[in-house]
Amino acid sequence: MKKILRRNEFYIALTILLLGIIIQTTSGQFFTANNFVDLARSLIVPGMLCVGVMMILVSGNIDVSFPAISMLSMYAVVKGFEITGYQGPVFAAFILSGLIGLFLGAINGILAAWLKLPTLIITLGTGSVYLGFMQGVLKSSVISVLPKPIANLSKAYLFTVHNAELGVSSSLSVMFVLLPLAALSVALIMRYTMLGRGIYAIGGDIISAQRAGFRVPWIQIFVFSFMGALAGVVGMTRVTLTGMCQPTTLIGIEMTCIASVVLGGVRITGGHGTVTGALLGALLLTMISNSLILLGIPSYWTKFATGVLIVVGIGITAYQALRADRRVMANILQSDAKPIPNGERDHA
Amino acid sequence: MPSAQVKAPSRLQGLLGREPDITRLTIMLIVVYAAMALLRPGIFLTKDYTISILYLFPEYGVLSLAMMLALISGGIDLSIVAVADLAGIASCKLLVAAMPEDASLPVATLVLLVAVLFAVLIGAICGALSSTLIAIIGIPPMLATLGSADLILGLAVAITKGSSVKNLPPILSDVVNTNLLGVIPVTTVVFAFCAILVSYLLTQSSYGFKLVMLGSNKVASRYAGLHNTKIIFQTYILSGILSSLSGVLMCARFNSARSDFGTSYTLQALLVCVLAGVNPKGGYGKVKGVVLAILILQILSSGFNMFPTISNFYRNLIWGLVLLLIMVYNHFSERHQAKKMAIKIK
Repeated sequence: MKKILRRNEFYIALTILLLGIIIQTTSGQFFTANNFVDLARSLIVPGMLCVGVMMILVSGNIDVSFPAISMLSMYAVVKGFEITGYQGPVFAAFILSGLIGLFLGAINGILAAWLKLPTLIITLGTGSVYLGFMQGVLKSSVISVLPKPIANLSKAYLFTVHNAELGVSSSLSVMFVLLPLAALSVALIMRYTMLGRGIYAIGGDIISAQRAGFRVPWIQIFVFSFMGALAGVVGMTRVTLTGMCQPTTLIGIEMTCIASVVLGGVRITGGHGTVTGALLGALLLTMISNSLILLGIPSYWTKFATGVLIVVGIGITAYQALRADRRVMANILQSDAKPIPNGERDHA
Repeated sequence: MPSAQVKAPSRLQGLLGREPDITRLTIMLIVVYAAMALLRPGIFLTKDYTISILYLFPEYGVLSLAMMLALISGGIDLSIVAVADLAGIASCKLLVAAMPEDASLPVATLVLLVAVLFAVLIGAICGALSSTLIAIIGIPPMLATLGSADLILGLAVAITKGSSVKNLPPILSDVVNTNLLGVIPVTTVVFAFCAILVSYLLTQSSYGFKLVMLGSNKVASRYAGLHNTKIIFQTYILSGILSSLSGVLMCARFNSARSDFGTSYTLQALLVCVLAGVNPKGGYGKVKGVVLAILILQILSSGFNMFPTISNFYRNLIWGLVLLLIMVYNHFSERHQAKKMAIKIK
C-alpha cells in the first residue's frame, strides 16, 4: 500500500478521476459511453507517440523531430499510393510508412551517437530538414481523397455507441488496437530485455552504463529508430482517423507529448519512467483538451489553461525529484549537518 | 592560445591563432557576400538591398543574443518568441489605448517610450517566471522554458482572441522604420545597442564572468561561493528583456501585433548561436561571433529572395541542413584540436 502511495502514477490516476468528476458535475456529460469512445479515439495518436517519447526520455535523450517524421512518411506513402494507383492490402501502407520513419529516426540516432551534442538541438535541425523536405521537395498539399485501401480502412469501426440524450453516436475506429499493441511492445522491451535495461542504464548515468558493458551508441540508435518507426505508423494512423491527408496536421504535438509524458512521472533527465505513467499522462492531457469546452472555458483560453496545467504538473514532479536528490545528499553529508542555504541549491 | 607561443609567429598568424572561430566566421561572411554579389550583382549590390538586409536582421538578431545568454549559462531559452509576441501585443495594446487622438510629437514620443518600457517590463516578468521554474522549482531549463512558452503564448492568444492588434498610432512604425543619415535603419541601431550591452556584460562585468563559471560547471561554481540562483535569474530576465525588444521591432515592421509572429525564429536563433560557436553545453560564447553569424544568415536569406524559383519552404530544409553541417564540422575540428593538444603534451 505504501508503495502504491509513493508512486507517481497513483496521483495522476487520482487527478484524472477528480477531473472526471468535476466535468461530470458541471456538464453531466463525462461518464457517458460516447464520451469515453471519443476520448479513446482522440487518445490513439498522442498515446502511441507518448510511449515512444517515454522511451526516448528514459534514455536521457529528447526528440522533437517526430512530428516531422510522422508527417513526411505519411505524406510520402499516401502520395505514392495515389500516383501508382495501389490497390493491394492496406497494411503495406503502415509498413512502408514505418520503414520511412525508421530510416529518418536512424539518422537522428546516428547523429546523436556520433556528435554527442544535446539531442534537442540535433533533432530541431533534422526536424526542420524533414519538414522542409516534405514542403519543399515533395511540394506537399492536402490530399482530400485517399487511395481506396486507406479510405476503406478509415470507415472500419470496432463498434458504435449511441447517446440517446444528445442524439449523437460515436464509433471507435479499428486503429485503436494499435495503441495497446504499441504500449505492450514498449513495456516488454523496457522491462524484460537487456536492451530495455540498457535504456534505463544510459539514462541514469551514461558513463556507468558504458563501464557496465552496455553499447551506448547502439542503444541510442535503437531508441531513435524505434521512435521514428513508431512515428511513421502514427502518421498513417492519423491519416486513417481523419479520413484525409493534411500534411501539417501534427505540427506542435511534440510539446504536448513531452509535457504529458513528464506529467506521467517520466524524468526528462533520464533513467526514470514507466509506460503506465506515460499513458496516464497522455490520457490526462487528452481529457483536458477534450473537456475544456465542457467545463465552460472559452476556446481562446484553452492554450493558456493547458500551459498552466503543464507547468504546475511538471513543477510538482520536478520539485519532488529535487527533494529526493537533496535527501540523498543529506544522507551522504550526514557528518556536517549544516543545511544547504535556501537560495543556493544545486540546479538540475 | 599555446599555439601562438610555440615559435614567434607573425602578427597575422597570431591574430588568426587567437580567435580561430572568429576568423572562420569572417572568411565565411566574405565568401557568402562575394558569392551573392557575383550571382546577382544587379540586385544585391544596390543601396536599397543593403539597407533591407540591415533592416531585417535585428529582429532575430536580438533574439539570438537572448538565446546566447541562456546557452552560456548551460541552459536554453525556448520561450523567446513567445515572450516577444506577448510583449509586442501588450505594448501595442497600451499604445492604442493611451495615445490621445491628436497627440503632438513630444506627447506621442513619450507614450511610445512608456509603451516600450512596458514591453520591457513584461519581458522581465516572463524571464522571472522562467527562472523561478528553473532555479527554485528545479525544472530543467529546456522543459521550463517550453512550459512557460506555452503559458505565455496562451496568454497572448487569450488577450488578442487569436486576431491581431491593428490601427496602431503611426509613431511606432515612423520611428522604427526611419534610416539614420539615410542609410542606417533604426532597427540596426537597436541591435547594435543590445549587442554592445551584452558584450560589455559578458567581457567587462563580474556578472559575465560568473555566468561563464556557472555554465562551465554549476557544482563547482556553487562551491566557489557563487549565487547560482541569482545568476540564473539575471540571465533569464535579461533574455526576456532582449526578447521583448525584438517583439517591439516585429510589431513596428508589420504595423500590428499578433500571437503568431516569428514562429520560426526559435530555430533560427539556435542556428545562429551554434554557427557562432556558442557551446550548446554551456560555458562559452562571444557576441562578436553571434553578430557575424547573424550577418551570414541574413545575407543567405536575402540571397534566396533574389531567386523566385526557390520556394519559401526550402528555407526550413536549408536552415536545418546548415545547422547539422556546422555541428558535424565543429565535431571534426574539436577532434582535430584535441589531437594537436595530445601531441603537444607528449
